[in-house]
Amino acid sequence: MGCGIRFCKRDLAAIITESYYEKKASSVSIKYIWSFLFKKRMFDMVGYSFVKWNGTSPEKTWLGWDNYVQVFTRPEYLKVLKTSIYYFVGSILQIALALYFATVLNGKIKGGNFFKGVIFFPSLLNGVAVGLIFLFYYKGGGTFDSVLGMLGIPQEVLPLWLGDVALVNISLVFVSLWRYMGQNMVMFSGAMQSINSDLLEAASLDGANSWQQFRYIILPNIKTIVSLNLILAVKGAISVYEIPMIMTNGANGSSTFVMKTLDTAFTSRKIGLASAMGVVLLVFIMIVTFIQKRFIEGKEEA
Amino acid sequence: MLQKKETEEVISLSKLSEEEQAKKDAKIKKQHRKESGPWIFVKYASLIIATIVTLLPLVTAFFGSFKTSSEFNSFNVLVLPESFLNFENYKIAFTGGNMATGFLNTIIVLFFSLIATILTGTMTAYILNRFRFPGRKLINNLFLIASLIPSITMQMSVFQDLLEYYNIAFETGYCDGYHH
Repeated sequence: MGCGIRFCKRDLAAIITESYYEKKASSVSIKYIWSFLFKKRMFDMVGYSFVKWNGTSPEKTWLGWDNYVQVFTRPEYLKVLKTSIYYFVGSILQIALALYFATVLNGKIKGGNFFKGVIFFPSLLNGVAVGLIFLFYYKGGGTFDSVLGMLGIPQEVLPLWLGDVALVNISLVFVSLWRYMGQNMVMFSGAMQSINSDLLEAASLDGANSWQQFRYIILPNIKTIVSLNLILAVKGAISVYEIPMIMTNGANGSSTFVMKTLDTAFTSRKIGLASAMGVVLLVFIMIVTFIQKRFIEGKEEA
Repeated sequence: MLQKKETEEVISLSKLSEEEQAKKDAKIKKQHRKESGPWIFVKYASLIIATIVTLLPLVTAFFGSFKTSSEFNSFNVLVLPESFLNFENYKIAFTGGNMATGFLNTIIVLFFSLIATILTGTMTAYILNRFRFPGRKLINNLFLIASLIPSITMQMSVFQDLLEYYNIAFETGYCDGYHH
C-alpha cells in the first residue's frame, strides 16, 4: 500500500504499538460521537471568535471582543445584511401567497390536486439545479425575455435581470419565492384540512363571505403553523446562501451575510472574524425565535 | 283552553319565523352565489397564472435539453425542439459529467449519514424523553439552538475537525500522504 519513509515507519511501529493505534483510532470515534452529542462545533466556533487565526497556523492570538467590534463597526460586514431585507419582504409575500393558494385549493375547486402538485413541485428540486435553471431563465434572450417579447415588450428596453444592481436582489428573491412557496402552501393546506368543515359550512350559511371565513375561522385555527413558517422565513432570510452563490457569486451587491462569512473564513483566511460573524448570526436568530415564541404564547393566553 | 291557544300561537309564530328564516337563507345563498361569480374567475385565473409561472422555467429547460446546439442558438427558447428523441445531451451529461460516479457518491454519503443520524438521533431522543437527569433540558436546548444555525456558517469548525482527524489518521499511519 504505502511506500517511502512513512511505510517503513509504520512497519516498524506496527510490531510494537499496534494497540496504540487502535486505541487512538477508537478515541477518535468516541470523540466524534461526543462532539455530536455536545455540539462541539458550536462551542468551537464561539471559541474561535475571540482569537485571531488563519485556520492552519499553530498559533492563535487572543483578541477578546475585538472581532465582534469589527463586525459591528466595519460597514462592509453589516452592509450585506441589507440584502436580507429583500429576502425577508419576499418571504412575507411568499407566506401570503401560500395562504391564499392553500385557502383556494382547500375549497371547492376543479383539478385541485393538479394545481397543488404543480405548485409544490419546485420544492422537490435541488438548489443547484434551481440556480442553473434560473440562470438560463434570466439571461439576455432567455426565457423571461422571450415571454416578455411575446407580450409585446421590445427587447431593447429589457434590463439585465442579474446584471442590474437595482434588480438583481429582486430577481433572486423571486427564485426563492418560486422554490419555497409550494412547500409553505402544502404545510398550510395540511393544517387547514384538520379544521372541522362543519364550522365553515355553518359560517357560509350565516352569510360569511370567503374573506370572513378565512379571517375568523381558518386563520385562528392554523396560527401555530403560520408562526412556525414566519420563524423559518426570518431564519431563511438571513441565511440565504445557495441560490445567490450559484447564480451571481455575490456580484452586483447580491452577496448575503453567510456568503460574506465564508468568504472571510476561506478567502481572507480570518477564521476568528468569520466565527464572530457566525455567532452574531446565531444570536440574532435566537432573539427572533425567542420574541416570536413569546409573542405567540402571550397571545394564546389572552 | 287558553293554554292550547297560546301554544298554537307559538307554533304559528315559529312556523312563520321558519318560513322567514328559509327566505332569509335563500336570500343569503343567492347573495353568496352572486358574490362568488367573479370570485370563481379570480380563483381559477390566479391558479392558472401560478401554474404557468411555476412551469415556465422548467419547461424551457426541458425543451432545451432536447435541442442540438445549432438549434439552441438559432431559435427562440420557447420553440419546441425538432425531435424529443434527441438524447445526445443526456448521453454527454452522463458520460462527460461522470454522473454515475456522482450518484454512487450520493448513495455512499446517504447510506452512512443516515445510519449515523438514525443511531445517534433515536438513542438521544430515547434518553432525553425517558430519563430525568440534571442537564437534560440543557442538552435539549443545545440541539434546538444548533438546528437554528445555518450549517454553512459552521464550516469553519467542520474544516478544523476534518483537519484534526486527518492529522491523527496521518500520524497513526491509517492513511498516508501518497495514497488514499
